[in-house]
Amino acid sequence: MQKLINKMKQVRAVATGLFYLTRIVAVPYLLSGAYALIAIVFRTASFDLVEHGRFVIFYLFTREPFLIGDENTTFYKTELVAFLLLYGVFFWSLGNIFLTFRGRRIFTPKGVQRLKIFYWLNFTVPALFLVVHLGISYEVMLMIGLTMLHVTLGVFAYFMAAIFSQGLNLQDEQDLIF
Amino acid sequence: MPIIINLDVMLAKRKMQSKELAELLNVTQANLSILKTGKAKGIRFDSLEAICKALDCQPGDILEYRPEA
Repeated sequence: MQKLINKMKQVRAVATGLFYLTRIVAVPYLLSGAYALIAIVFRTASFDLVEHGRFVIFYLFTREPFLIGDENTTFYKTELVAFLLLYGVFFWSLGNIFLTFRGRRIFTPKGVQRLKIFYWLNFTVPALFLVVHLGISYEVMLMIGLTMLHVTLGVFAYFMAAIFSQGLNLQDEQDLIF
Repeated sequence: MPIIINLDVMLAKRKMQSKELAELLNVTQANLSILKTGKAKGIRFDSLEAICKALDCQPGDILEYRPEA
């Protein structure tokens, strides 16, 4: 029993570390996405066009380049913002899964919900991007690679969600054993 | 469920309160309530032993089989 308690303490410690790590990664992605969106939509002083059809988004209140875009097209800019925001969402939802393992109880309805959100995001969002990229024949191989990676993660999360659902049912039954 | 828990009856016979029994069994009143209200799906032998010891009774005094109509 003591061995199991120690093991769970170890799991909680690892989950805590990974939770903060994913939050540290997610927040800059989300902030950068929001900043790029505002700069592009409102054409703020941070946004500037440069030669060869490229654009630059500067660090706030400076002329130091922060993001450099290869093409000043609506598609390119939309995808740039979408990638930043969606990777922010990806790391945030990944962190939520680690958050589940920090609790005293691992099998919770919230944990199952978090896993479902994570696998749905990994199944649908990259597939949508792949369809768009296939449609315009733009960086298709890169998108196939990314989609495969996310689908693999989604498959793991899908099976984990099934295990969590089963564990939750067993735990609920166990709670009713006096 | 055709298995009836007669814990209330035994508590009344022994003039003991649920709170007192919960303390003797080292469980919360909420947990004891699961057993008293018939929501429990099972009972462990060691829990049954502790209840019998605390109430000075036999398992048959607490558990009863009543066939469903």
